[in-house]
Amino acid sequence: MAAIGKSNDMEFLQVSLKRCNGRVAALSVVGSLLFAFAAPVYAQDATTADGVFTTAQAERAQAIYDRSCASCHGATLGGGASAPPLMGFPFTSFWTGKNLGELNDVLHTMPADNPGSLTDQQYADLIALILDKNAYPAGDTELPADGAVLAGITISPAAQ
Amino acid sequence: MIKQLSGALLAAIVGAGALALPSVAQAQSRLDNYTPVTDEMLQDPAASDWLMWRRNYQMWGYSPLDQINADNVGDLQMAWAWTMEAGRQESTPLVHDGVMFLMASCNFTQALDAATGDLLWEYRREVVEHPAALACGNRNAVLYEDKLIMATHDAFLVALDAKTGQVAWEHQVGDWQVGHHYTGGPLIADGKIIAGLSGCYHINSGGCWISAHDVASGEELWRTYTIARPDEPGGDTWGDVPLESRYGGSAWNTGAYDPETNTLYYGVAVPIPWGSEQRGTGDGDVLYTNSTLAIDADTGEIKWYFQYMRNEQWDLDHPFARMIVETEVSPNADEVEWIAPDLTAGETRKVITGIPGKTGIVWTLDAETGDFLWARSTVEQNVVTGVDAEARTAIINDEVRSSIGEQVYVCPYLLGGINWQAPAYNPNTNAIYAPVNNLCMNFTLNQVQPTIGAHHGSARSTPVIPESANGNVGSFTAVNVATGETMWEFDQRAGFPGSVLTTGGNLVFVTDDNRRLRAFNAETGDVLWEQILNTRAGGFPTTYEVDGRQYIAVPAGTGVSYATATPEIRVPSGGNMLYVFALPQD
Repeated sequence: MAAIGKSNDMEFLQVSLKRCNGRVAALSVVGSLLFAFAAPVYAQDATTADGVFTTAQAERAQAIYDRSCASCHGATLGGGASAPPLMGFPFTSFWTGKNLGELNDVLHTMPADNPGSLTDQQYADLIALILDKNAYPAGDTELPADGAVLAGITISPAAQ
Repeated sequence: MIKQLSGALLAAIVGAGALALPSVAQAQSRLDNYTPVTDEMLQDPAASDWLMWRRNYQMWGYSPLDQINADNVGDLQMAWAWTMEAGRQESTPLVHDGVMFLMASCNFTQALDAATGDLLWEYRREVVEHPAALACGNRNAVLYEDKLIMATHDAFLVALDAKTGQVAWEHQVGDWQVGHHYTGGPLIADGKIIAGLSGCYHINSGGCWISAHDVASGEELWRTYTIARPDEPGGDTWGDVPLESRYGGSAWNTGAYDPETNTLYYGVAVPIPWGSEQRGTGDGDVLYTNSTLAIDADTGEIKWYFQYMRNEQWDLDHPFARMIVETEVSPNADEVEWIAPDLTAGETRKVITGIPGKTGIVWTLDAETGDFLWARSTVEQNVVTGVDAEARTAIINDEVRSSIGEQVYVCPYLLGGINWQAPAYNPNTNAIYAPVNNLCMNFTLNQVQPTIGAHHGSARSTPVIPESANGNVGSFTAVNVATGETMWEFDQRAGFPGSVLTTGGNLVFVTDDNRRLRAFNAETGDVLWEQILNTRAGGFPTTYEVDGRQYIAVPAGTGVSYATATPEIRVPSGGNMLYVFALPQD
């Protein structure tokens, strides 16, 4: 799924999600792949203020977070000992101006005790959860599991 | 909160089948014969017992048992296993009179027949919604008189009746809602309970403390703060920062104790936030962070301190087990980077040694005075460039200091050359066996807004394997305590997140990040036995004897891990399991 190409000429294709249901979501993504070039495309100056994930995507990431992340980063993403907070000022002050591709790369080194053990889609969903917890707006389109697309989205200053 | 095998349940088990009867009957008799733990036992434990975290006050992780030894360890086989509570695995199985006390994550505690694993009683503490993710990594309890005494994730001291698991008393010490918790367990010294508070890496005013408590009630007897108060000696090392804005100094591992001098040796962790620019403490030393405190167990008075790293900023904590050893002091300058200029080599002294901090440096100090004797590195590090013996501190490399937003390359990684996984000391070889790790990091301080109860969130870091390691993260190293020389070293790709057990059988046991539990020849470093487990083992291996049979207990499951740097080594998360090994019975 990570091989979806990025093209600035393509139409922005929305992956429709009828329900907050992992299986439906997976089918929808597979379905979108059948359309060959059906990856979401963002404007070159896309930012996390643009609604780049869906609430449903963030919600379904909660179970992944609880299982794979919470033991170090805390149940509420607040951080723990050596594991930095994933929400709030310490998070946004560091990540503002960087892009989601960089965040995606860091996530792929996690969980610390079993790095790379999640699917690309699960990492993308976790980014959606992190954005949601940091009060970035949700939109109508899921954040794709494509590092190149993610790298095109800049992390904007935290909402006040 | 207590569930005990009731008479009705016992009847049900017996009724269910005759096979159940012998084990239950035997289990009951184990508790029937349980004897109170005395001060004399703590000072000179029976070979069959493991009564406290590292077995003795000197923090050796050593047992004189030798039924399992270098000649027969190849015959080891599993005696029994036991699924443990999910969560952080940092447990130390304690054993007395054939009863094992197994405190797992969030202080969930079970008493088991140490020969079979049969359950005797269990205690489940109500789990609070603690703000600190690590609060439930509870490392050890301690046995004393007829009690099992623990320090909890919600910052209480709790005494359980060792025979029943019933709560005898509990006493609140800290405030979990601002982050306080205990992960390092209590110690019994001078007839008191001594406990080092943690959770001061969350924002709570004035930092952590070490306190003494009445063994019969938990009532507090004295308290020594780990952060100097403004009007006390060292108070000016925090500049003008008022007490309520001084944070950090968790004392998150159990201290060592010397009954001969009635002195406690506790380690103190880092200041919070990590960067001096974030703290507003300028060039101040921020006492007593990253120090050893020698404390009078009677009064709590600080007899001396030695601050390994002043004004530290990389989360390179120095809170780990201090070892007390009587040894000849003859550091070999070919292998020991830093030696006290006025050292008279060849003298026998009582020293505080081991690896107190994440730098992986072995520091050896005089136990009575805290004077610097010698120090050497065990892994790649670029933070300490020298030792100022007179000032009693390391000389820090200014190149790795940074301001907010500036990335620096620092060795070791903030998980440490070593973390809370504990080395062991064997008096027969006079060696420390250290599970150390070669990792560096790209480290960037970020802006902070300290909020009471919240994590400090000082920095981001990514691990990097240093070139000098040739791809090998793990380095299991034997260091001679007299000379500082490396006796042997076992390097490999997988890191060593496991603690060490060494025995009178000329053996050293350690686990790695790739599920390997190995027994080494303590003298030569030869691998004599290997067992592949279900996962790495974050718990502390212990050994004990029941009915003439020696057992090795290894709590598997993740505590610390260096796997981020070796992603090709895949080990599943979870799977907490206690393995117990023994030699075959005739």
